[in-house]
Amino acid sequence: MNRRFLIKIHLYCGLFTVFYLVAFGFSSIVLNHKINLDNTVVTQNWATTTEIDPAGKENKELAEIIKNELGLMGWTPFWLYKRDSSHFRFTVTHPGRNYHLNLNLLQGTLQIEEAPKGFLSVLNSIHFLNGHIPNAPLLLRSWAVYQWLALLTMLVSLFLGLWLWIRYHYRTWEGVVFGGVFVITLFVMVLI
Amino acid sequence: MKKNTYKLVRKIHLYASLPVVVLLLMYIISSYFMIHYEYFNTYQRDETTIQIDASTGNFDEEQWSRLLTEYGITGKLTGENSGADGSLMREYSRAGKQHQVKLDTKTGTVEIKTSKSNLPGMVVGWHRIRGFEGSWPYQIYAVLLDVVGVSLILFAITGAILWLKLLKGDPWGWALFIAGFVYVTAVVSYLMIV
Repeated sequence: MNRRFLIKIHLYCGLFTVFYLVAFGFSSIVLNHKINLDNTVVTQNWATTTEIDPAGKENKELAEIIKNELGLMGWTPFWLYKRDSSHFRFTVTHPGRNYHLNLNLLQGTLQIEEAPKGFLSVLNSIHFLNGHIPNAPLLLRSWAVYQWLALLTMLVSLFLGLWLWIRYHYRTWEGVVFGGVFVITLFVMVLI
Repeated sequence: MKKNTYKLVRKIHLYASLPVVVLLLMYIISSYFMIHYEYFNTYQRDETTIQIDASTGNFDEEQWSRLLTEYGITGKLTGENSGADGSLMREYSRAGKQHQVKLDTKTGTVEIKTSKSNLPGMVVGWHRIRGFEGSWPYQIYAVLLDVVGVSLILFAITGAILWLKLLKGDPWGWALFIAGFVYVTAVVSYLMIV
C-alpha cells in the first residue's frame, strides 16, 4: 500500500469522527473538573388534563403511562418521585431537557414545567449518549451506530497515524520522549 | 497555506496525539466494553467481607489511615456518609477494585467489603476515574486526562486543516465531513429542542 493511499484512509477516518472528537475532548475536561453545565431555569409552563386513573398504580407505572401519553422522551428517575394523597410529582429527563410534572390525583390536571439544559450541557452529554433514550426517534437511536463506527474509525485512524509517523517521519528524540510518556502513563494506570 | 505553516500544523497534529496514545486506546476499548456491557460482564464482582474490632468513639483520620494500611485498602475516597444508627461509611475505589468500609462507632466493629472486577471491568474503571482528589498517581492521571481533552480538540482541528491542504477537492472527504457535521448538528439540535 502506498503512502498516499494510507494518508487518504487516515484523513477519511479522521473526517468522519472530527465532530465526535471535539465533543469528546470538551466533555473529558468538563468531567475531569466536575463542572455542572446543566441549566435549571424553567422556560416553559403548560397544563393539560389526563383521563388516567391513578388508583392502584405504582409510582413508576403511573409516571411511565403519563410520559408515554404526553409523548415525552426520556427517563423517569425513581428518586425524584414524590407522592402524597393529592399530588404526584415526577421528572422526565433526557440529555437536553428536564420536564417537571405535577399531577393532581383528585382532578386529573397536569402541570408541566420545561427546563432546557442548554447547548454546553448537550455537547457534554454526547459523551454518555448511546442512543437508548426511551421514546427517542430514529435520529437519536441511530447514534449507537455512529458511536460504534466512530470508535472503529478512531482506532483505524490512530494506528494508521502511528504507522505513518514511524514509517516516514520518525525521529529518535520523538521516540524517546513519547515512548517515555507512554511508559509513565502505563505506570500511573497500574497505580490507580 | 505556506509550507512552514503546513509543517507546523502537521507537527501540532502529531504532537497532540502521541502523548495520549495509551489513554486514547484505553478510551476506545473501554467505550466498546461500556456500549456492549451485556457481553463483557464489566460489573461482575468477586466480593469478600471481613469483620474486625476497632476502637469505639471518635474515629479520626489517623485511625482511618491506620485501618487502611493494616487491611490493604487502597484507592481514592469516592464516597462518604453516615448512617442513621451513627455508623460511618466510606468507599475507596481504584480501577478494578472497590472497598466499602462500614464502621459501627457504638460496637467498634468494622465491616470491610471488597469487590474485584474482571479485566473489562478494570479497563472501564480507568475510563471512569476522574478528578484531582486523591494521592499523587490520581493527580497525575487527572493532569493526563486534561491533556487528552485538549489534545483531542487540537488533534481534530489540525486534522481538518491538513485535510483541506492535502485533499481539498476530494469529494469523498467533503462527503464524510459534511455528513458528520450534519448528523452531529441534527442530534444536538434535536436534544436541545425536544
